[in-house]
Amino acid sequence: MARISADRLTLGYQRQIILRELSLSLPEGKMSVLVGSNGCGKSTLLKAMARLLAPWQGRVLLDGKDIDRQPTRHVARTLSLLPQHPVAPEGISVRGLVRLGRHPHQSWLSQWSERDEAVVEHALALTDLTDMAERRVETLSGGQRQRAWIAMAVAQDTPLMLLDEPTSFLDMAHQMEVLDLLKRLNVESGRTIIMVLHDLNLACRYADHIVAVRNGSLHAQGTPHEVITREQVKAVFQLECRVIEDPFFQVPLCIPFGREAPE
Amino acid sequence: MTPYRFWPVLVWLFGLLVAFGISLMAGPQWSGPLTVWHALWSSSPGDINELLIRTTRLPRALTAMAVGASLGVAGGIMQTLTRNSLASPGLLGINAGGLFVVVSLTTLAGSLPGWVGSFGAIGGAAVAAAVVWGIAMRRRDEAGPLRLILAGAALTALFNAFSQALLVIDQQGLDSVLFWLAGSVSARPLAQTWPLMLLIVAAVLGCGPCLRQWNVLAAGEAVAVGAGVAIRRLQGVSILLVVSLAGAAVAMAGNIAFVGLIVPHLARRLAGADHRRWLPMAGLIGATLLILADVAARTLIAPREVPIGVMTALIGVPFFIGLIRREGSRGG
Repeated sequence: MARISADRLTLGYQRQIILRELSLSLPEGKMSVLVGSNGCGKSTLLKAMARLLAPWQGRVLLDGKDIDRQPTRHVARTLSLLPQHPVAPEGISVRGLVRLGRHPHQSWLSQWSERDEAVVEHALALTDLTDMAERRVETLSGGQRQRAWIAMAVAQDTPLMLLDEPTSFLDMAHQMEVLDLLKRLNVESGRTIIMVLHDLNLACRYADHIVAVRNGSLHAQGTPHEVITREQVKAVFQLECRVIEDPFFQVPLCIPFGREAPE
Repeated sequence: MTPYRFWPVLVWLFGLLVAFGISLMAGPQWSGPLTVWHALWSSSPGDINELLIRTTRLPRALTAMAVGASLGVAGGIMQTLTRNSLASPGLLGINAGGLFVVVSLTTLAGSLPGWVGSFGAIGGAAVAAAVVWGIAMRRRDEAGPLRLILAGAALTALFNAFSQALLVIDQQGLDSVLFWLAGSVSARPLAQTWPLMLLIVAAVLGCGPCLRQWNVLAAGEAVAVGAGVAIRRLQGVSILLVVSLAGAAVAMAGNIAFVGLIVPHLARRLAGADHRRWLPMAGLIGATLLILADVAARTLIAPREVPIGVMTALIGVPFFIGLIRREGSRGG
């Protein structure tokens, strides 16, 4: 059962076509990761699924209906989005930022309810930011800042979360921290998580489902073992590598060779 | 929700009232508070001082208040909309468009009745904003605000070049449009300005439903879409509000620069990042600043007047630099 799917989607910017007639369904309740080389169209696909980009042809279906024909506020109660490199408003506190996530649940009549307050507190606690709630976002470290943005998406309280490269520019420890947090959200509250990642090995560790995009079309999808093989990595990334079994986590581990191939 | 702290707003509201009172008292010959009170509430037709207060100083103070508030709020909206803290209403070509229409009308028809100038200015402002908006927002992508700034700068340069060409050809026209060039809140009877004031009041009230959405938009377009803000509609409404506010301000007082740029900064420093707090503050600060600037403009070298645009810069710049410096040392 898929809540979100792409139906013969053709996407592009200005005159340049990026993605051609791509159809895709992403499994509910799982962590899905889109991978592919730079410029292959994976981020563009994620943007279209988040209705940031209008398709040239085809549709994005959310719960079986065209996402562009549903009221945006209604969509925002089902689907949240963390874009690439978001910039917080000047001077805003962590709590202030997380509160913005409640926007689709508020209306003229019900401005700020106890439920809103409870969800915000929960999101802060989950992301370990309760002690920093009054601090200004610009004073946080990169990892903390990314957690604050994730907390905002969590406060939006949606069954689906889309994240565009949530670990870029973070050091290794902070990357793990963010991915552990997302895994927790997936396991504990059954949220469907769909994200773009660059690191294949992190994708293998955390994804239930991997989608490999190559040259604007779907190259392969399935479990990490099905998708991350020597042949497919070569096809998708034009990269020589060997794939071995991760001795600790029993997932594929990709060792890139680059120019200096052994033997 | 953290409780809304009313006292800063109350303090500024009180400040605005004081400034308004001073403005009614100020002139080449200062009047006492009692004279002002009598002039407002119990008219004795023969008294020349009271007549002066009612027919000259009161409209002037009201104009300064309305124009200052409009520019402060319009500047704040522009800065949120473009996510650029150097944005101001002038950016949309509003001032240049309004001015160009006034100059053209003056060149074609000689001197104008005041209301023709007003409506010409607001019409020119609206057309300029519509053209800039049309160029910048035709495509649906994230570069819209940047294109808005570029298109606005280009159109401003174009309109100003036209205006200057017309003024060189028609030297006599210069005198009658100098008012718009330098900016002034003087000599506009309420009978002429009340439709513009109504427009300003309507636009300020129209900001109400947008405040929370602007809070989300300040985190970026993608974040706002993700949180369910109907972004095209919000941008359209915001531009309409800016054109109404800044257009009316230009029509009433001409080209008063700087208020729309600095006042939103002051308001954010004082009231924080929430539009529900700082945007009303921007209106109050803008109104107070412009009233005081006008008082200074007509008393410093009385009986002559300093152009109010010069005064806003003289008052605003040191204040602004001081704030930036203090902010810098606190951060470092």
